[in-house]
Amino acid sequence: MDSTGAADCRVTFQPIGKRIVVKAGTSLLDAGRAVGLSISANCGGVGICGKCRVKVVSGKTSPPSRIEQAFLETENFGPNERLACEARVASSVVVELPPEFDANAQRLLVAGVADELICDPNVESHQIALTAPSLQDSRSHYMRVADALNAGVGSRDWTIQPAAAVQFSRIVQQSGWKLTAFSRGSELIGFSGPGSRAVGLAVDVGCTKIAAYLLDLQTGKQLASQGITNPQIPYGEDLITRLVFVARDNGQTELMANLVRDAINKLAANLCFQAKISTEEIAELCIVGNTAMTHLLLGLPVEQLLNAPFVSSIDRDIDMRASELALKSAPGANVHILPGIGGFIGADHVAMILAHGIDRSEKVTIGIDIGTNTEIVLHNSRTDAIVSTSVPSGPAFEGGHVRDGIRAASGAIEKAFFVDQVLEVRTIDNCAPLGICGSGIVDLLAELWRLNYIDERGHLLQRDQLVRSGKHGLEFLVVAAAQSGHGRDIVLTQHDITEIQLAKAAIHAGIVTLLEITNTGAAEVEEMVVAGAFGSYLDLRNSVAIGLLPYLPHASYLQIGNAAGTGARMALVSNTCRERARMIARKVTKVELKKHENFNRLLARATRFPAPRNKVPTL
Amino acid sequence: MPSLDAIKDALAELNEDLALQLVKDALAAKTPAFDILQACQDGMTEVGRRFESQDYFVSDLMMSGEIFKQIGALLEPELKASGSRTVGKIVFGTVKGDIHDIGKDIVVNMLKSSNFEVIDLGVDVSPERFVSSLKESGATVLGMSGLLTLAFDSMKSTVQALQAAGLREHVKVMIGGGPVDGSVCAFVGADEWGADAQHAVRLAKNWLVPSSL
Repeated sequence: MDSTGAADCRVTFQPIGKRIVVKAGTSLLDAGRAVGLSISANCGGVGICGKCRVKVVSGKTSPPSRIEQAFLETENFGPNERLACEARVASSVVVELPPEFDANAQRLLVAGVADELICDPNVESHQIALTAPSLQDSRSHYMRVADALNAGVGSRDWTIQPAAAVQFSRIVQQSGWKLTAFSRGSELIGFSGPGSRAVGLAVDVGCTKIAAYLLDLQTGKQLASQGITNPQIPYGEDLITRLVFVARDNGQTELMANLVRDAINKLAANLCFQAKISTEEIAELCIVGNTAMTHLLLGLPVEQLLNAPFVSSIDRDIDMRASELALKSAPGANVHILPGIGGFIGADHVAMILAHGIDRSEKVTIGIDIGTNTEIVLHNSRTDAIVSTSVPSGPAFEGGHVRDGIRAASGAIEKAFFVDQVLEVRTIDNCAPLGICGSGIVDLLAELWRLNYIDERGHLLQRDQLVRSGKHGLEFLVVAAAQSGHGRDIVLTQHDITEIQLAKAAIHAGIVTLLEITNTGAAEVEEMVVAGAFGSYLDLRNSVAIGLLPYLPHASYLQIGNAAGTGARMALVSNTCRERARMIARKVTKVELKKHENFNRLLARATRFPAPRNKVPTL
Repeated sequence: MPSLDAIKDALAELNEDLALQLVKDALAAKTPAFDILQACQDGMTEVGRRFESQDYFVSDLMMSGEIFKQIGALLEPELKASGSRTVGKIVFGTVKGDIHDIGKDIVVNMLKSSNFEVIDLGVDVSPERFVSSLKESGATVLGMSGLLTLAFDSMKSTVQALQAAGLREHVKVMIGGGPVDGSVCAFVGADEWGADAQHAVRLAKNWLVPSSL
């Protein structure tokens, strides 16, 4: 409480993940502006334009004002939708920003490094020319197709579901009995106009983003791709919170499943629009995700994932009809979900191993995908041991738990370096800086370490005026208020540094533990592969300089982009790849770090910054 | 022969290699294990003091705990041979369904360094195991740790199990972990909650060392 008696309320803006504490009575628009969000308000926030529509997901706000009431009625506002300029906070609230806000906001990595895809899909397409029924030829629609296919590709006991027959009728009316039939095995799964190609959709469902790729199933050619923010974020930024949300109230299973299914449908519609085809032509889907995400997508029980020993409900691969998940596609389309390895090591990890061929590489290889949970795989090609683990590295590298941390969006500091004692920063889209994202945090820490602003234990040293006393201890001034996009200083606090130390230590200790378990020396490792969005924008030398990644003297360090997405694409178009994914899931040994008594010691040591301070080897 | 002050300082400065070497040298020079332990405890007290004054941070507590654990392993044979001098027994563990142990280890090490005998049951400890350990050891303080919100249910069932076993009146219960606060303490039915390791040590002292009041 301050002297005016107004209580402190925390406002959280999702999906961007920005938080601020304001006094009760502050408008959502002002709260948003205070954290540097550019919520559109053409009228300047006086309740005229109606542009600043947001959704209040939880918490209390003032009742709609008279001005607002008019908008609510005429502009078709959904439940809990408000004008940010009029709604005032009355308790801590979570606000969901509209999708337009997100469209340009967050940088979502979609691209992955992919070799030529090998195509042996489980869908065939057939060009067939039929004749219309007549008194002389009264065969059913089905018989016409079956006979034509028997003559073309050989005799099968063709099956068909009613929805495909409905589609058939509509298409022959439009195309005059010439059409394309899609089959999987002996099932007729869908039809399209003549000359159509079979396309498939590969999807990587991440905690933060969902990436989708539309591919030609016969050639593997990518027709379009797009990434969007995972719409589940307002219900929990990290996966544990989201799982708890579902576990506490079983009715939410459907809500969470529908959110991600709708998002996939939206992506499918956008990609098909770009490729000038109908979503009904999607003949096959392949989905990967971490264990939590696939459980939520499929509506699987999650309670057992939240309690030790954290077991998944299903970890083998799944084939089911897309229609059962209400996914837009050809009537009989199949969804393939890659297998997981167990616990939190899910299908996206298998996809990463598949994508880079880590399982059959002749080199001793470490693969890592850094996120709130970081999955690590080590393949020792000499002993043929292959082990994986998952470490809870926390949200620090996604900007969480860091005072001025933000996700990789416009205005985020993504690079930082000193030039002659002056700190230079580069932001995404070259906007005035609003905060620091993961890659910027790693750069900053490496520079602070190199230039003696922190000691080996990560303690800030009062070397010059850039290090000062803040509200909660020492802090390093990154950007002064005059240069920032929101008129406030951007700082890295001692507390932030501790958070980042714990995160980088978890990853480092996880890697070292896998080396120890497999009796692999650091010098034996030949390849260190870093996947994922954060991993792709990361400065590798700086990551080694701060000890996020260990220094491996004979390894080449590679950034391979969204490898999970690449693995999903490979498995989409190839049964051989699906078989390999199954083999990977069987072959990889899951390592429980907690069972290794050395782990906590390695973890404590890895919070330190590695010597020598200013000599980072060339990788 | 290394001075006990040097051991204390090495620990307070979190100098792992030096601290371990000095302890080994001291043992070789026949310094009594209790004196070495006392020096280490003083070092840990200094670490705790620096944490409270915000000169040290969580990562430093982790490091100090790991050094202390290793020194403890070096001293244990000697200490065992000459009998125990602890000031009270505490059963400690991370509750069922949770396996977070970093915070728990920090607290356990801090308690040990304050001369308490701590029976560390590890992680994912069921109410039954807590109860049987309390019965066997006769400990009068129970510490439960948990980071997941679902861990609160386990803490509550453990307190209920204590009641059912007729132990509740004789055992003081403290809880801790990331999201734990006063309302969680009330929900669980614990006596007290602690925000950090120093807090836990103060609670234990209040309960077990009357003179410290």
